[in-house]
Amino acid sequence: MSYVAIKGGTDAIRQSKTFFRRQLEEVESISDQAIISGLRFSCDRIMAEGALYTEKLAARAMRLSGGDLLEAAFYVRAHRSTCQRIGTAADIDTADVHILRRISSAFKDIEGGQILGPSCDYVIRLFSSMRAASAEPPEEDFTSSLKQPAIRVESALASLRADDRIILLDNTESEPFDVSRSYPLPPYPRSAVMQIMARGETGSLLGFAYTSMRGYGDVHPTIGDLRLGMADIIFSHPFSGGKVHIGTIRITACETVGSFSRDPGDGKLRLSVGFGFCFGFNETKAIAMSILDLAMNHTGYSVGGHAIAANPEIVVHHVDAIESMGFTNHFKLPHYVTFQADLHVFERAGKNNDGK
Amino acid sequence: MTENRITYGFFDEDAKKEIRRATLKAVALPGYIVPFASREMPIARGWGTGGLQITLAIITEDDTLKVIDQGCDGSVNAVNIRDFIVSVTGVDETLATPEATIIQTRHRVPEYPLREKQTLIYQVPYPEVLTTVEPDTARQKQMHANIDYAKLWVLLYEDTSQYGDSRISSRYPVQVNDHYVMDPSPIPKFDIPKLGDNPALQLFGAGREKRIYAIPPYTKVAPLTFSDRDFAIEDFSGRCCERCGATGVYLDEVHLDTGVHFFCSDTYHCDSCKEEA
Amino acid sequence: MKRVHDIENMNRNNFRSSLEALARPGEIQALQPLFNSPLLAMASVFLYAEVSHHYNGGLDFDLIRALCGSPAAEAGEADYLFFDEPASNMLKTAKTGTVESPEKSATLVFAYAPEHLQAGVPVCISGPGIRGATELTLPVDTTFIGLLREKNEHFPLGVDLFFVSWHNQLLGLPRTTYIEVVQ
Repeated sequence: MSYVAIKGGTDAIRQSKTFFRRQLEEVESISDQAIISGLRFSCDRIMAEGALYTEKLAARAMRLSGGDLLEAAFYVRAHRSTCQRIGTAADIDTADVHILRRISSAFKDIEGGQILGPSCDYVIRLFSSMRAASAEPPEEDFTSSLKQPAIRVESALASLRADDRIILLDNTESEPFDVSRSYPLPPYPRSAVMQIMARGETGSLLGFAYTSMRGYGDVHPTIGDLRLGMADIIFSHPFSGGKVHIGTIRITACETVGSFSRDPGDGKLRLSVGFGFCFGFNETKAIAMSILDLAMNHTGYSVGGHAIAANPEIVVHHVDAIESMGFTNHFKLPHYVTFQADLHVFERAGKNNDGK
Repeated sequence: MTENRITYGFFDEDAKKEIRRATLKAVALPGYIVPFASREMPIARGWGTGGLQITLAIITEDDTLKVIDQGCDGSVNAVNIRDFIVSVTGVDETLATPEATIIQTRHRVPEYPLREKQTLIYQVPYPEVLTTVEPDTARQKQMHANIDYAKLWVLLYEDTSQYGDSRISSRYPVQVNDHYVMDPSPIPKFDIPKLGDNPALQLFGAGREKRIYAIPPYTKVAPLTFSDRDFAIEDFSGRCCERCGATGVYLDEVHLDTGVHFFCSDTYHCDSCKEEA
Repeated sequence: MKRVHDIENMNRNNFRSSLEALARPGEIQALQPLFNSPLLAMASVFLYAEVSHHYNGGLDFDLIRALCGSPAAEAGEADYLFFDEPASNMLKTAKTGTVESPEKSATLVFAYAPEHLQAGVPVCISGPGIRGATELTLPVDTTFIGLLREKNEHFPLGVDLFFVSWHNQLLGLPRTTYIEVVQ
């Protein structure tokens, strides 16, 4: 009589992995560079959700996962796990970022201008409008401006801030929290929540933010300042203390204005603002994140406090792709012992029920 | 970027120390779920990363490792995990429960009684016993602080009054050292009696939920039951393993072309019973 | 000079001993000393960037600090306290955690010499990790025992202790251990 052969497991796994690799063979013909520049937005999502800025490893993860962005982010996150943290870089002021694109929905025109930059916002999504692969060479080198030193471009909300019209939240933290090194407990420090969202899965953040927009929260916030650009990373040498420029990364930052409320500090009415930020270019995510930040920190309006998106418990535990994807798929593991136990309870309850 | 040389046990030293810190506090606070900065592993969350982190943080060159899933060493996930651990430590591996010094398990306690030189490490999906009755973290912590498990008792009562017994089949809540109520991981009720007064050290790791907890050796563990009810475990009376003849063990119901059959869930125990026969 | 590789090897063996010591209170475990000191060996096991320590003794802790990155802290705040000899004065100060977060409590490591054991108190201990009860001599005086019992009276609040001997033996006492002085 046959039974589960002990050796069967190892062979089955090996074959399964080979089969998986073989069906994705053709992906090896796509170069790292093609993925990094041509599949730019996938690469950016993988870096942001993998919580590690590395275009080369993101491209490799893209190939290994056959384009499954959750799987790819997982590769990067697992790799990050093996990296030791040696220090903290200097704060990035978003006003110092080399701007590639910057818009504000709040004002018709702003200091520094509305710079559309590269965007698919106004593209008509029809397949027939795609041109043939042999394109003409670009008219100018768009990236030449990035080689100049950055011009400081203040937030479009700067004048409102200068007039003290915007709520400034209390900052009780002396150092930013690092969720990869410490476990945050409620009441969650704001920097911990922001970090979790910055590395959170775009679809999850989008889903929760959408509930807020549609009525389960502060309705129709306004984008104050959305910018895409290149940020310089400055690090202090651990022994000499000297400042070193260690690299430049693509980032997205978004400030969103909500409703006004009475500032508990002095009783004056002020506007609420939320902030979203992530690695790479991902406007959807940054906007969603800013709306969630707004929802969690300003709950005084309408359904505010009872809304799903306003509850940090929901956001902190349910937006990480690696966690939710892993657990969702874990249901594929054998559960026959627990199912057997379930059946025993079911049978016994059934007998008890029939006896009534 | 250079490839990282894999350190012993995969993690860097700081990661190990974080896991170790939580493990020691867990031993000092039997049944209490200690938060820790859980690291991502190359194996997916939900697939044993908590148990794996504990194993890799405590394992040394002198250990002998056994890994089982549903009681079976050959189960695909157990094989995968065991191969990974061996690849980053070079430890000896075994199928024989009595020879192992570290046993990592998913959903079963081995049938062979454990000894003092052994450590049993459980993979845990839901470390928080109150999950079913209270999902909010802050309120959960307050309930444990006050040893307030009223909501759990209400759940047990509602089921018992309607169906004669709790509908909880695995993850049955237990009280440890007369203090914290704890989720024993999805082991069947059959295995609950093995938890208390055990010569081995039992550690529980939840990677995704980022908690570690422990039952020290020789510690009192009691399932939550009403005083007028017995704790009912799965009933295999009238059945034995068709392969080795064992009774008094947890049996798997297996559906084959030849009909429904029952075999030992613990495959090593089955193998050794069969050898003796 | 020990290589990092060797220290990591030592740490995992010493940690395992620490785990066994705390899980089986009263059972002596073996320890490998670091820079000839069992106390520094324990510091190397426990300390890293996310935990603080307190030490006012005669050993050179600088290398440990550099290797582990653990910040120093006041006795009432420190996660780990190290002592060149068993003394009860810090027992009152060390933090015991909160009922919501009892794990945020101190771990104290005491080194001791032959004379401390000779002058020590015979006790009977019981509780988790101990089969029935165990009798042994602790390298402390009765004042220490009294203060420790007071400190750990309201479980889950409390502190956890390790004793390391001059000849590299390790003993653990978690807060769950009930200690009775033998008359």
